[in-house]
Amino acid sequence: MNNLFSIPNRLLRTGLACIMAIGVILPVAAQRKASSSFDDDYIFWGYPNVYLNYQAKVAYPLINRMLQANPPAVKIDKNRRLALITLDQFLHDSDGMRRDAFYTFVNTRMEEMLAGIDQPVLSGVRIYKLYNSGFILKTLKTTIAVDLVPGGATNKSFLTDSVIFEVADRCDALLITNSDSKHANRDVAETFVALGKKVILPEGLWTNMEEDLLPVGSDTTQIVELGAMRLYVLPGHRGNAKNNIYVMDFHGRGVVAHTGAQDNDADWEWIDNVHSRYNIDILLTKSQNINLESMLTGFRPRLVITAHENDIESVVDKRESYWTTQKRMQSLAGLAIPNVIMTWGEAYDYADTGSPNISSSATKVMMNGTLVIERKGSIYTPTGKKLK
Amino acid sequence: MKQYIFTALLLFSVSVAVTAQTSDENPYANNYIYWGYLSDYKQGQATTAFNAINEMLNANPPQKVISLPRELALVSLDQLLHDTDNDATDPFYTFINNRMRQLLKDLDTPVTKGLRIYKLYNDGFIVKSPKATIAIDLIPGGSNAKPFITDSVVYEIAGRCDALFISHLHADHANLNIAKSFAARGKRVIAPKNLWVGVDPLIQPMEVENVETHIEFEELDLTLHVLPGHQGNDYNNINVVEFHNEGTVAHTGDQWGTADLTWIDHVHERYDIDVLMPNCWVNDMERTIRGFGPKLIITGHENELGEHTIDHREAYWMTIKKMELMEDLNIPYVLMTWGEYYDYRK
Repeated sequence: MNNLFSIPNRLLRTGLACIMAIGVILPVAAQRKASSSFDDDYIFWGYPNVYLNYQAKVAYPLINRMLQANPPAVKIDKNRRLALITLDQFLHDSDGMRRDAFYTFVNTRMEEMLAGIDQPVLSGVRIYKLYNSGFILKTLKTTIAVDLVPGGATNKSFLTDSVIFEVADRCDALLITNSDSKHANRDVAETFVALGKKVILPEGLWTNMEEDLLPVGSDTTQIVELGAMRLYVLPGHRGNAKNNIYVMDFHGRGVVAHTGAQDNDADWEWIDNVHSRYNIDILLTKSQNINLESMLTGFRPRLVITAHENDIESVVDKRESYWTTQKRMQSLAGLAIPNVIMTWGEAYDYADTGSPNISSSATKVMMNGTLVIERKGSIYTPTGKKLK
Repeated sequence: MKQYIFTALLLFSVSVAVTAQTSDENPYANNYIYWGYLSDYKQGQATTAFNAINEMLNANPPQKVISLPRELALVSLDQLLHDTDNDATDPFYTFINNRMRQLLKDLDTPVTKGLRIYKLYNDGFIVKSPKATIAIDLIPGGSNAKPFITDSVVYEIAGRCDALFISHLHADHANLNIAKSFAARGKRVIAPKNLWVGVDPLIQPMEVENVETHIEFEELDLTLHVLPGHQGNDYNNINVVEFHNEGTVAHTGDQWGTADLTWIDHVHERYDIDVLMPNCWVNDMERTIRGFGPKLIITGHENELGEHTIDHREAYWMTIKKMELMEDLNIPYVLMTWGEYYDYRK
C-alpha cells in the first residue's frame, strides 16, 4: 500500500512545496516591483512604510524651502512656525531616523550652511545651529564650534564625515561641555586635532589622548585666551559629572554663553549671580529644562537661542520639539528676553548696536579688484586673516 | 516557591507601572515637558499643528496654482492624518468641526454668479449656484457613536441644502440618517438603484439604464444627469449636475470599473462639463479626465480616516503628484481640503 501511494504523495508534497515557495516569492517580487514603480501612479496600497518614506521624501524639501524663505528672527511668523511644527511631526515619527529622506534633509542643510559659512561677519557674531546642542560661533576673526557631534550611529551618522571635516577646517577650536555622547564625540575631536585645531573639554574626558587636548574646568572659574576670544570656564555639572559652562568674550564682537547639559541644583547658588559678573549678549541653553526661568534670570542675556530640540535618538516623548520651545518661551515672556528658535544649519546674525559688548564693525572694500575687509585701519581677508 | 515569588513580583511591578502611567498627572505640563507622557505630548503637538495648518489654509485659500505655504500646510495635514495616534482624538475633532463651522457660516453668503464649490469630508461636496444648493455624498464620517462631524453641524449643513445626490451605497458616501433629514425637510434625495427602497417617498433610488437618464429640478433651475457607473459590481451613479447658465459639474463617486471606460471615453461629446470631481484614486485618471473633458478638476476622497489603513488614506501630496503626471492635458486643477470653497465662473 505504501508503495502504491508513494508517487502521489511525493507529487503532493512537491506540489505543496512549490505552492508555498510561490506564495513567498510572489509577494516579495510584488513588493520589489511595486517599490520601483510608485512614481508611475502614486498608489501605495499594501505598503504603508513605503508610503511613509515617500511622504517624508516629499515633505522635507518643502520644509527646507519654507525655512530658507523665512529665516530665524526674534518674531516668528506663521510660515516659519508651520515649517517648524511640520518638522517636529516628522522628527517625532518613531521611525523617522530610519528614513533616507531624513539623512538627505540634514545633510542638505549642512551643505547649504557650508556654502555660506565663508561669508565674512562684519559686525557682532553669527550663530549657526547644528544637531543637538551643537553651534558654530563666527566673528570676523574667530570661528568656534561648541558640542559638535555627528549624531546617529557610528556606521551611519546623521552628519557625514565630510561635513564634520569641512566644519572643523573652518573653525579655530572646538569646545566640549560634558562627556555625554550627545555633546562629545571623540572622532570629531580627533578631526580637529588632526587639523591642528584646539580642543577644549572637561577634565577627565578621553585621558589617553590628553596630550592633544586642553582639559579645563575645576571648582573655580578658569580663563583661557584663544586668539581673539577670551574664554571663561564656569564649573557646572550634569548630575555629578563635570559640565563646563563656557562664556566666550569675542572682544568687541559680543559675549556668548553655552550651558551644555547643565543640570545640578547645587550650582544655582552661583548661576543665580552669573549676570553680576558677566555681561552676556546671547545665552545658548537647552530647551528641555524645568528650570529655564532660573537659567535666564541667572544669566540675564540680551537674547536666548535654545538648543537640543529634536534629539531624534531619544524616545519620542523626550525629543523636545520646536513647538514646545515656543510655548515655553511664551510662558517666560514676562522676563522680556527675546528669543530666536533655530533649526539645523540655520544662521542668525547678532549685531545689536545697543550692546556695550559690540564696539565696532568692519566694512567690505575692493582693493586691487579683490574683496577685503577693513576694520580700524587694518585689512583682512573675507575669512578674517589679517593682511596688513 | 521561587516561581510564586517571581510571579508576585512581576505582577506587582506591572501594576505599579500601569498605575503610575494612568493615574499620575504630568507634573511638568506647565513647563511643556512630557517625559513619560507620550499621549499628552502627541495631543499637544497635534493641537498646535492643526491650529497652524488652519491658520495657513485660511490665509492661502484654494487656487489653480498652489503656493508653497499652502502646499506645506496640506503635507503637514497629511502627516497628521497618517499618524494613527491622532485618529479619533480631540485635536482632530476640534479641527474638522471648526472647519465645518467656517463652512456653515459661509454657506449663508449668497452666490450671485457661477458656482461655489465646497469640499467636505471624504468625497462630499456642496455646490451652490444663485438658485440652488446641492449636496453630494454628504456624510459625517467616523462611527455612529462618535461621528467626525457632529450631528448638529451635519444637520445644519443639510438644512442649508436643497437636495442630496448619492453616488453609491458605501458608508463613506451614503448615510441614511442624513438622507432622512433631507426628506424630513421636504427635500429630495437621489440615490443609486436598490438603496433605501421604500424608506421615504422623497428618497428616490434611481434606475439608470444609459447615459441619457436625467431628472429636471425646475424649482432649482437645474438638471441632474445620472450616468451608469460602477464600483466593482455595485451601482455607482456618476452625477452630472447642470446648473442652467451657471455651469455643469460631474461627480464620479467611487467609479472603478474598466468596462465603463468605453462610454466614459465619450462623455465630453454629450455633456459640456465645467468641473470634474473625481475620486483621487479613480481607475485610470488620465482616461477619465479625457473622457469628461472638463475645464477644471477638483479631486475628492483624500484622507479618508475610516476603514482604510494609512497606505490607502490618499494624501494631498499624492494628488499633487498624480496631477503633475496629467500636465500634458493642460486642464487646471484645484486641490481643496475640508470646509474650503472655490468659486468657478464659466
